[in-house]
Amino acid sequence: MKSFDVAVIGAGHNGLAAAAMLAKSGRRVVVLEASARIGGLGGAVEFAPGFWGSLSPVLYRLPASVEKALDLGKHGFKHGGLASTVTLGADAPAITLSGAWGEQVSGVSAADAEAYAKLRNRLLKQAAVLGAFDSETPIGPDAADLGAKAKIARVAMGMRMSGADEFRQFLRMALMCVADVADEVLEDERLKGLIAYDATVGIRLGPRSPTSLLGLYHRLSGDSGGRQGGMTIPFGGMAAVMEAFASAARAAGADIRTASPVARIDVNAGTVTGVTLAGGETIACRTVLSATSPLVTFGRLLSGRELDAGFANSIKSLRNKGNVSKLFVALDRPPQFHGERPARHVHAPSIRVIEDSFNPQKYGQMPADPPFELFVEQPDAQSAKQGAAAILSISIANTPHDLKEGWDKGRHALTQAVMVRLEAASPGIGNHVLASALLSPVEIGDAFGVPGGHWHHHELQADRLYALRPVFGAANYRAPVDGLWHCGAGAHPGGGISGRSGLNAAREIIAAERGR
Amino acid sequence: MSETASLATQDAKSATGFDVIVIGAGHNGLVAACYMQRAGLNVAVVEKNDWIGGAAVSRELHPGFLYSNCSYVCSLFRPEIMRDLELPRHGLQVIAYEGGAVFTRDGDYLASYRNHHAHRREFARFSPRDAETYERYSRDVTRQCRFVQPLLMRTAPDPASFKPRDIGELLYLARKFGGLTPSEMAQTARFWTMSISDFLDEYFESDVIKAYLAISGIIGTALGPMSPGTAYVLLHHYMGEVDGNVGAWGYARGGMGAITKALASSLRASGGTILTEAEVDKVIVERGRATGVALANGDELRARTIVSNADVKRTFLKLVNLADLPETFVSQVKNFKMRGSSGKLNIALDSLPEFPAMPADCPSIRGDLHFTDSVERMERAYDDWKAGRWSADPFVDMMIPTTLDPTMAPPGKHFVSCFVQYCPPKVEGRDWTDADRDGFAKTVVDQISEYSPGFRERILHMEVRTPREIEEEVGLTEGNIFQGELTFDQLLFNRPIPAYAQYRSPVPGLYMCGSSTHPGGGVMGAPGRNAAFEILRDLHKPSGHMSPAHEVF
Amino acid sequence: MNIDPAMTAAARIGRQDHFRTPQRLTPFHPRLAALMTGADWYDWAGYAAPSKIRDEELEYFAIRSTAALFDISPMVKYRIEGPGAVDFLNRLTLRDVRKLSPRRVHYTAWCDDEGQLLDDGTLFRLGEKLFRLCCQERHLPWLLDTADGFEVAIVEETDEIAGLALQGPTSAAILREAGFTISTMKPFDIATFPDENGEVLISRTGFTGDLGYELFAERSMALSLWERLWEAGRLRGIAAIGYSALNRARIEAGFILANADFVTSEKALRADRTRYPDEAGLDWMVDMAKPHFNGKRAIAAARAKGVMRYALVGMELEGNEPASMALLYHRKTREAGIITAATWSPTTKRNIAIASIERKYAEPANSELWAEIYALRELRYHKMMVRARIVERPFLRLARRTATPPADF
Repeated sequence: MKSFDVAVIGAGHNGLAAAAMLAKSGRRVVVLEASARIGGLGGAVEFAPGFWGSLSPVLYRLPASVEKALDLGKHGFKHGGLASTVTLGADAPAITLSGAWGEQVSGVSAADAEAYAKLRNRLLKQAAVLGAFDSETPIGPDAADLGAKAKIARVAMGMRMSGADEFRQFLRMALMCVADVADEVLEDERLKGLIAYDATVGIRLGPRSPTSLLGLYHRLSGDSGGRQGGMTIPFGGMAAVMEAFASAARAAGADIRTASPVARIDVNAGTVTGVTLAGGETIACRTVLSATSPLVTFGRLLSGRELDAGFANSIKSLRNKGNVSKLFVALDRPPQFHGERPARHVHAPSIRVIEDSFNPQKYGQMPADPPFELFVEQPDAQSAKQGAAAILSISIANTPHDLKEGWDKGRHALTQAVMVRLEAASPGIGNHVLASALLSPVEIGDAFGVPGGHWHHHELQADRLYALRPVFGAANYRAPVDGLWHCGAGAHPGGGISGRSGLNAAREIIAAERGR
Repeated sequence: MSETASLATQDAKSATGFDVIVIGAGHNGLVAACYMQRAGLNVAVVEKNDWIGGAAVSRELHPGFLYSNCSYVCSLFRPEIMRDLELPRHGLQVIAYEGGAVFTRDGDYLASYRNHHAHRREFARFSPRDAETYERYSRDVTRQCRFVQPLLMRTAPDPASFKPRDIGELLYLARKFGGLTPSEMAQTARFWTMSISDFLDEYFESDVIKAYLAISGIIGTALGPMSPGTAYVLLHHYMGEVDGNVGAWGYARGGMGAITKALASSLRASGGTILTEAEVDKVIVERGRATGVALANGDELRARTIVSNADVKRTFLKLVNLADLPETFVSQVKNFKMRGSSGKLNIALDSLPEFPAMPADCPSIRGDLHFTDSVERMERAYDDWKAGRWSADPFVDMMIPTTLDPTMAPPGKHFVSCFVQYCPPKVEGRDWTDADRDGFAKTVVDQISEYSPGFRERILHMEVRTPREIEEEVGLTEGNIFQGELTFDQLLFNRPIPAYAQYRSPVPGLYMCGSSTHPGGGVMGAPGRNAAFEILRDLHKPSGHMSPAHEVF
Repeated sequence: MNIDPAMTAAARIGRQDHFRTPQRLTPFHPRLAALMTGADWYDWAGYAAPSKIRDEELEYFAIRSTAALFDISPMVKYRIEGPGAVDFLNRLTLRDVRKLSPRRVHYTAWCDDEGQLLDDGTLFRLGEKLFRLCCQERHLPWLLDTADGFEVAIVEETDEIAGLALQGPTSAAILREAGFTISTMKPFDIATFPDENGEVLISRTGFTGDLGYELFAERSMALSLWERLWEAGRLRGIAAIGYSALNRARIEAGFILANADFVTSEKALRADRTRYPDEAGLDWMVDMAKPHFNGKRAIAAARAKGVMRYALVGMELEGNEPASMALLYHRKTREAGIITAATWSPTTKRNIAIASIERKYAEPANSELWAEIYALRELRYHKMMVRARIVERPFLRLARRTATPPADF
């Protein structure tokens, strides 16, 4: 039987990125994926018999450095063009933010266009400061990490050197709510709606919740297609991106096994000895890197009795209930929306609309008019064979995981609420639907093995960032069991397809084991 | 009050050549004035009303009843200031508070008791686990209080400045933070950014207990319990102390006006002047310097130092000519958030209200009483505010001060103070009408009556304060009781405006000392004290009479 | 644990009136109150407990020369039961519970994630899957968190179970006289005896370092049990005692007390005031060979890095003035620690103390320690700097504590 040095749990982008780096370092690596397909939340979904779509159709955090580290280009990866963002609605003219997060803006007053450009510039600069930490390992539990402290001091100093006023503005704005930031400088409600949507989607905060600007920083700190704030729709859908990650891992020598769910991480006397698969097979190895949700790693795969009660309890208290649903619609002809292609169409006509939809979800109720964003995907071969000309991948915000009325009931109303908007934006679209399906956060969680179905595995809020993510003490990718490591959206720097936490964790593993 | 007015008139007659003019006789203005006067400056406080005290005032609005019209508890007022300014000698007496209670919809209540074991057993009625978790919770919150308290009486640094003093203060902050253990640092970082609801979820399981503990996270803020940052607001209410008991709430005998009355008396005793019915129309700026104030009656008072106790918006958008201020400063002042979120009902009662759910001998009747038994209800009340309405099911912090201090009303009669959230500065975008005000009051009285049958029938007189009345009467813009919201972007070195958090303004000679400045609202006195410290420093006057913050042991 | 669904509003409302009696009475209160000549009560975990009944010194000598009866009902007691009880307790506590046989007791302690002491206490193994944990502080949330994933039920039974400590040379004789056949019980043994109203559980344990037993019974049986012992002890010098006398005996025995000799981490407002087990003299308990337990990694790391800062030591001081809370200095100059408990030991005729000192001063080469004692006499402090020597604990070893069978009287 083949033996391994490292078992990586989960073949999502982080698991695959880590596997590639670890294999490159000469380690024998096996990636164990529970489902039949690789990709995790980045994978393709068969939402109706024969129809496929991407759960995450867009890249906004895949920087050139990651492409280069994994040589993704060689493995078939290609960015699409920068997608513009267009307001969805019948009321022309639409607002279009084109280029990387609206390098050009159309559809707003000249005054707003100018104010937006200034705001954009400032936010991108601020986000870049925070983004510099994405590739850093957060401070560990003993906080004696002088390197990390020095880094923080260096970045603060650098920021200060960019000017006293900008520095003060950053310290003032960093924890503000996005609504106030937008209201201070902009007039157009629709433009403010677009900004607020980007800040709050995927996070359980409303535009008027303090700290909601952090969500926008997260969105803007990334770059894609070589442009900070850029958003690209990859050729061949997200499945192709994941295939490139997998190919990089395989080329480096990693084994990737799908349909191999791990039942438990084996530990003896506080040290990892390997993993046992659901089928009973045991894989012995000295290092295990779990690239799944921390709730799965520490709550399910590891026996609670291997962990301190305080730690186990803090993992249990992670806020992991997602509130974004996914609606897939297969159309027999492309939709007739405003704006250039490729585009993201956003229904978030004002901050008020977003806030009003945020309110009921706090109490487990379905909002009447939830904001959503829509991508038009090229159908894959199989969907095309069934007559699909376009696949709409729609993310609907503020749809609560714990829906009080139950998702059986809520599903229909939610689908209708979105279809009404689509109909208004592209009259007659309803007559061209070949197939559609709605995945609630509950179903997304079940389908992808991420309890809660949260985009970031658990809340990406101020109290769960950097050294506090997922919990203080484990943010440096080390688990409190020797030989066990973790990465994934639940760890720093959070979600968004980037492979970042996987790369960071792999780097830490290699550095730690060099000492052995 | 007539007594004050006549004294003021006398003061005016004898007044000559002031060094400092303080605009507004609120508690912070008076604190600043007292300290400056005691440093040998000749200080005049000018007040637009015919009474003094601003929002810390007791007034007779119904014969025989003293009302604490606006602020109603005395937990935050710094004991160092009381001592420096000899306020006890001038009649201030702060007494400790009973616990309180929240009534539940199922006919019960959750009380908080001063006795440790009673408190535990009370919580255990709702959850035995929560009853004990409370120990760890209060340990953690107390640790945070201990961390923050010493910051109250220090001037916040400008983090962008390279001046030795700013760097020194920054280092102080860094050292203070660095002195924590790593897990305390993590906990502090989380505490400062979490919502009180999320924070409590990590400790407790009982809705009622969470609702009760969430109260201090929202009082006075335009935030709901689920808004990040409200855990810090809780701290803001807890970091007070009564005689060294950190977190204890106190009550000023004779109402909150007793504080400002004592301050005024202390000021006069040291030779200071208070002019009432002296509304400031403009701060006079000549050759880029503040040189005096022009009163509404046409008089001008000259001084080389002008200190405004008014909020930052009122000070710079109304009292100073915009032309005298840098444009970016003006836009930042405009963006300063001070949305009013609360209203008040002051009620004179014919007799003590009854609460059938609570045994008559339960001491909690002497504490603060609430009627929202879940965080969700409190958050829904906030949703109404966001939509520009007063809450249909409001959060009410009700207190019957006459149970602690019977001297405020005729024997057997009672004064009830109801602090109500949420109450918007404008109703669905338009100005308040009298009908709106009455509708708001009815909502509150209806809620109380549900738990206290016959409450309405006991009412002898009721005064209703929406943000409109609060702004009109005490000049708090939009009726915001903290002179500016307590969100991160408006705290510490950001309060009120980055680079102007050191009590100075862009106009030389013009200073701020109200709650718009660090460390913010609540009847604390620290902004006034800190402002005086900075002014005395600028004027090269002694500050040896100002005690530093007491050590927190 | 979720909120007890059986806790209806009506049941909750029925319990409102507790505020009238914030301090509860133990089941033995009528007997204690009848014997007491003053009204010297203190609060022990929410119960009125006697500081002294009549005369502290005489009560102390009852412990050492006859038999002392001390009400331990306020001690916090948890009933822990279920197939997962052993594994749960092994996760909770420092010692290996698998090594604790049924009907045996051991002294143990438990820590939080950071390896800081939460409490110490005695663990009674009443059966294969049934335990009683006795301690100073309440810990329900921590016990429940630790129990997550284990098949075990945890209930606090402080109020339901009455407890008495019978300590002293004639204690065994009194029990025999009362009809309890305890002669073969070795230290830390447990035995149960039928009583007309139920069952009495007796363990050969105590907090005095003397021959002694602890008895537990349902609250309803408390007074009859008291009568039974009192009657049997009439000719053997039985005396009811208060805490002050017990405290002297426990210091002689070298026992430590939570939130006196160390600060429990659940209560510490200052995070640096808590202690690793090693810093409270409990390093012998930490069983690194057993399965994972709370704080294990932190303790192992602290040991490896050598970051333990304190040591808890026994001390003998010159003179006869008890040095409670005195500061300790190294070579009279450098502050070295504090005395946490002190007494003049009437039995050994030594001035003894327990002290928490910086670890380096526990080294023999470094241990020239002095205690600064302020003795207040008629409005004047007598300041003394007296030599304090580190000595072994316990200060008093009595052969009768462990002799089996115990001597008859």
